Amino acid sequence: MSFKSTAEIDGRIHDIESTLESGRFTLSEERQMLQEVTKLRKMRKALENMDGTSGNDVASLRLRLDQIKLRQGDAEARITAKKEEINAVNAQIDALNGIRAVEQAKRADSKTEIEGLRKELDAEYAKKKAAWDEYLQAKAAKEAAYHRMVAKKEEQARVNLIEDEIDELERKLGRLTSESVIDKKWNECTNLINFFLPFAPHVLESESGTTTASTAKNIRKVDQIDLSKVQVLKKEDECYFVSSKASKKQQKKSAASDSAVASEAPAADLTKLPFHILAALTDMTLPIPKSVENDLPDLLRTIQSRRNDLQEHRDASLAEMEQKRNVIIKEIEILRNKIESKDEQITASVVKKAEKAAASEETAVAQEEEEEAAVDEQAEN
Amino acid sequence: MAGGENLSEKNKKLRFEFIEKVKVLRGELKAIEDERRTLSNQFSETLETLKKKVI
Repeated sequence: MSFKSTAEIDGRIHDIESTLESGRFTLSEERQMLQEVTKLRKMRKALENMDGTSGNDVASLRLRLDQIKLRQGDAEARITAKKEEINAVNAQIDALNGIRAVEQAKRADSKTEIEGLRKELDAEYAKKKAAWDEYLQAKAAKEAAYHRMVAKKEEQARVNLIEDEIDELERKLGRLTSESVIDKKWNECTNLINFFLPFAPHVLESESGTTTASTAKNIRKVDQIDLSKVQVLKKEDECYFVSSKASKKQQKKSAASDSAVASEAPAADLTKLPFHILAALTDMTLPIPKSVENDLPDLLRTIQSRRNDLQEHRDASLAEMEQKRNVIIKEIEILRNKIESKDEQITASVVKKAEKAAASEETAVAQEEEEEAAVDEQAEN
Repeated sequence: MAGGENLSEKNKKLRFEFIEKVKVLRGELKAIEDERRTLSNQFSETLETLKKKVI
């Protein structure tokens, strides 16, 4: 490359330096450029010596000043161009910044919208949650009411069952309280003795020395009534079973005269015996006495001996009955306590627990079945 | 939204390139200004020398 003036050499040096400043080159290129710059500077110095610009005379100095001015003008022009270039790029950057600002604004808007939507979503969630809570509360209340109802029913059934048992026991108790057959027979014997004894009081006392039921129980004994001292009241006729065939008139007469003492003191001739006495005698298969002297002592003795036989059984029976009664009363007491007992009462919580237990049992059974099925499947495979 | 994101990325890249370019241009401008300053100094020195010669 040939240069005609130092300005051309300076321009070339300037170009190389610009390239060096840009940094767009390889290492070998940089080395070459540096070598070229060194060479150009040497050439410039040689040229200056040749054209006299390096001289110190007035003409050389003037020439040098002109050259410097030219170079300054060139530098100014290049500076202006660079500044314009920089401004153009800055304008582009500003435009991009403007887009960026718009995008940022858009993003901010989107963010605000998202926040609003999120708030709406939160409000909806809160509403839904409140509704769900309300539903759960209502469900719990319904379940509680159902448990209470079931508990009430079950408790009622339990109480009914116990009350049925109590009723049954009370009936049993009533049956026990009522006269037993032995007791009935013993009472009949006593009644017969009490009835016939006034006719022949000496029979039992003199022979056996036994006491009648009335004496044994310290019941006042009815004395033999002196009929002449008794005022006979007019009273309605009573119906008696009459063993002899007396006429209706005679019956009326005798009834009218003896009615006042018939229930208290029997007739002396034993011809008119009350119906219940006759029924009792028939029931016990005893003969109806005809005379006080002949039949009555035997009858009384027979009745007495039967009553003595029954006495032993009666005592035992009474003791046994009392024992049974006590047992039943105790059972009734226990059952009544059962009704009142808080531990045995069926409440809503008890029903709930029972339901839970049943559910867990069902789950366990289902699991067991599943396991069995799996084992069977494995065995088949 | 996705298109906006792409545009934004592209703009970012462009912006970065422009900034780099401005940096290079500023470097070049500084070099020219240094050269002008040097020339200005040379001019002042030469002018002083000339003044001494003329006076």
